[in-house]
Amino acid sequence: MKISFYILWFFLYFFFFASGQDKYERDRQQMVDRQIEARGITNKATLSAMRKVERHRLVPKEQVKNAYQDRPLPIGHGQTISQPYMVAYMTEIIRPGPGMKVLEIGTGSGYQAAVLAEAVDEVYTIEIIESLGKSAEEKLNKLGYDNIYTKVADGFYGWEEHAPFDAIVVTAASEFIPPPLIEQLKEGGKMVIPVGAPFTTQHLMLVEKKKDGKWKTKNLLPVRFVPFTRN
Amino acid sequence: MGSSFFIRLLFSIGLLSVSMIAYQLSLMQYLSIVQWYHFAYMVIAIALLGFGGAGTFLAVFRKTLIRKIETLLPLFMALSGIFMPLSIWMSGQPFASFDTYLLFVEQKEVWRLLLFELLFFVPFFFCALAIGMIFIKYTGRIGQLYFSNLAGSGLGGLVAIFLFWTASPGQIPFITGVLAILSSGFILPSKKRHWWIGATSLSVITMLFLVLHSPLRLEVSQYKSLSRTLDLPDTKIETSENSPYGWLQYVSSPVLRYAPGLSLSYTGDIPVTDAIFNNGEWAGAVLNSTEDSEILDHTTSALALEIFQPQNILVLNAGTGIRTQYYSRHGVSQIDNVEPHPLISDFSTETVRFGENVQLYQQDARSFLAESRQQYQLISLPDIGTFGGTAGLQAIQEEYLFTTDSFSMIFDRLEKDGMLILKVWMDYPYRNPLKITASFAETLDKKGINDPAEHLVAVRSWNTITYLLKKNPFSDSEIQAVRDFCDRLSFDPLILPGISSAERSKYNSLEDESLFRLTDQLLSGDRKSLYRTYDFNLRPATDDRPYFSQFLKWKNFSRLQELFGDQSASFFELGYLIVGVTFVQSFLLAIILIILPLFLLKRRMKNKSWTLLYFAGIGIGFMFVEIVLIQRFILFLGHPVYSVAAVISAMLLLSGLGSWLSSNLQMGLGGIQKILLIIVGILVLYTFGLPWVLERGMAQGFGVKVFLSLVFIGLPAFFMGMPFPLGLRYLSEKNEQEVPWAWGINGCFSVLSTSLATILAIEAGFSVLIFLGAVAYLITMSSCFIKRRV
Repeated sequence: MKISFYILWFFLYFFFFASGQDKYERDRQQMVDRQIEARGITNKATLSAMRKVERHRLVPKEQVKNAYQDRPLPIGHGQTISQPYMVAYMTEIIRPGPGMKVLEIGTGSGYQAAVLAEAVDEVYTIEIIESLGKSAEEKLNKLGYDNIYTKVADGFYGWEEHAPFDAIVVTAASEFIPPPLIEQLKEGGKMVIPVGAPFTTQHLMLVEKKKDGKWKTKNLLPVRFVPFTRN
Repeated sequence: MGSSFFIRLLFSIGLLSVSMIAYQLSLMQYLSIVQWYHFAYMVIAIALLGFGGAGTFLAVFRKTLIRKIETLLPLFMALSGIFMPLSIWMSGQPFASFDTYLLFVEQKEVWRLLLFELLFFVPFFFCALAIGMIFIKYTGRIGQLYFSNLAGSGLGGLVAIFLFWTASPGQIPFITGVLAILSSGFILPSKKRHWWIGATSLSVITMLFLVLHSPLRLEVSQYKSLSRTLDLPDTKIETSENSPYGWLQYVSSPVLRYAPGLSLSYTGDIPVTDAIFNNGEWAGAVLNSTEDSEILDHTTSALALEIFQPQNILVLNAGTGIRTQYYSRHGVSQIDNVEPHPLISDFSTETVRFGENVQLYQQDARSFLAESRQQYQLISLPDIGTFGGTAGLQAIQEEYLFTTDSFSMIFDRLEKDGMLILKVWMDYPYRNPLKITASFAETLDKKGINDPAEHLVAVRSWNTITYLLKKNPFSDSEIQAVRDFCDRLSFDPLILPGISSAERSKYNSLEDESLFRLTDQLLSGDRKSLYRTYDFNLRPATDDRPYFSQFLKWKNFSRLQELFGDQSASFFELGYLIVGVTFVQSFLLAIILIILPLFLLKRRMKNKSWTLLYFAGIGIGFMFVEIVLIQRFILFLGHPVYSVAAVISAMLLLSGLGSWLSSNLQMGLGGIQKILLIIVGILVLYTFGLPWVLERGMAQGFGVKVFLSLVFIGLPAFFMGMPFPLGLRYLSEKNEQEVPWAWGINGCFSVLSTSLATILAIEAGFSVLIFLGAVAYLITMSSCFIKRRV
């Protein structure tokens, strides 16, 4: 009797756990199909990464149910986890691929780092707020990412020991671009910076460092606002 | 009733009124600190809701309340005092803590906002209940009681200002609470007196202990810049000080740096700075030395000094003085630094002292411009917007420095070859840069300049645009200097006489050319069609509608939602949407707390239509006028706190005086009509004449301004205090059973009008709003005509 009771519990547990996992898997695939691919993201490495990373395991507990919704979510400390589409857009811009080394300034929830880690060889990520940095490190370790290197520090100085980087993603942008970051970007490398108040990323800034060491910035619009459509 | 008891009653009601108005103003400050300033008008609505709800409660339970008045009166006064700090404390607890920023992110925040409003409603409700019971019980001596109530209310505004200077925001609710509890001490019941004395003393001692040892902890929103800065490592508040201008913190940090819009060509060091915050919002960086200001040489802010060498400069709303230090470092011989906030100047000058070439003025910028007759070679204005956009929280904030009236005054203060400099943070979709271009173009147009493009230069980095407006056209050598500057620091000209399309995005390219095209259209004279067709409001702000940061056109909101998503679209104009939400919520609360309980009375109604029209008209008219006066006097007195204190206190005092005098007048509907006609006449005059009078009075000293304020606020208020008691008396003579309904209708419409007035001011301007106030009184007057004919 006792054994059959345990067996019943065993099956029930796996039934619910597995169906829960199925639900997240289903939500994630739908997210990629409807929110990302449908909006024009075509880079295969990016799409594949977005399909793999378990976003629901990187958001705060109370946001798990919203993890695959088409919007940014609050993660505390006045910070947000970006809208999935924005993460995909930023990842696509740097043209991720094997052999690449990427620096991220502003680990936040760790989601962007995880997506990058699926598409490139090494991701170095820096967070200035200790509690956010530690929490993201713990979650990323649990998810088994061994190519993400985290550190709690001031992102102003970048990560000189591992420079130069093929790309830099500055998710915690400030009023200026720290000169050390420009220096730590490889010639021909790209730096991408989302610009907007929390919950509202409205445009991206792309800095391209040319082969001659010079640079050019470009304003990119993930959501294109076209005035005068009514006329 | 013995005379000794009556005198004590007068003191009691006076002290309670002092505490209530001081609490109301301190609650406005508290909410500005933990959230944003939008809740100032919500506090007025909540106070009115408290008074309306108490009136209804009194109507329904009148007999029981009056029978037990000896016990209930001191109890309600004490409860009002206890709930002043208690409601604030509860609002900061996890179950209730609301965050404006999450209102359109988390559904539960809507309910939390409702709970927020209900918590703050409680002290006003108990206070109003106590006052209402006194008025009903001692109707025979209502004149003296009413006067004590209003004199106390008037004094409350002054007490609040005194408390802002002397106590912290976490202490003030306890102090006002103690005053309310003390007011109950004058009228303790004779039965079980010792018990009452003990309980009152214990409450007062507890509150005083809490004032000194455990003031309320201010749970500042995590999205305010103070909270986000304090999350940085080794960052701490060095000192805090309160004032009517706001609660100021000086913060030190090893990781804060100042280099707004720095050129990417710059490879040197960036100075570490301290920072000052006002009401939890960023007020400016504090440089450790004047040399640190040299970093501005590598930003678009250097534009003016790059093309000419001014010898006298006016720096308006100078904040922590960085612009002044920068100009001083470049050897400018005379700099006038104008900053209205005394503590910001004090705090920042403690770190870096200005030289003898700098003259400090603690004054509002517009008042300074009105008073000063000096001409300047360069006038520097504060930055517009913030890096990454503002989430629309400034939408309903009056910005009198960025109106076309203000730019016109600045233009007049410039020397023949003088220039105005202003930096705007880039946003997307483009709003701030386009509105400032439109504002400059209109200002130049007003000055008879046909080709504004000859008088304007704008230079763009990846995230800022700096504008120069010159009184005379730019010379060829100046234009060449701008080009050299751009090449050296990798910036791009946006507006420049003779500009080519290629040079506009040489270093910093945009995904499309709409910014260039729209800018050119604004300068070409075809502005009006762009104002009409663009999805955001680009019409320049004026003193009548001083909302520079208000861009939302309601009819286009659904298009923005489709394009950016519901959540993101809300952040284009969060401040304005909050007013809409509070309007809906206060409407529901007014119905639930004021109107629905009146149905319990089940009384016969003979004057339904008249009661509705008469008392709704008064409720709407009074609040519309009060809100317009608060707005108009912000510019005149130089700060919102002074304006709110002056308007609330003077209106209560003078309208109370009017009410008191009217109680001695034997007057029928005909007499009431005459008074209403006087009010309508004054308001129509104010619609056209008040801005003119205030503009001319702005150059006067502060004492004269306060006197003029009392006269211009007091005049309509005196007459506006009369129709309500006269109408009530008329109604009670016809059918006393309808009196509670009259209270309820008046209260309900007053609550609604507070948020509605803000919306109308934004959409139509103050002149229209005060005119609508006159129309509301006209409706009240018309209802008397109809009634007389029936």
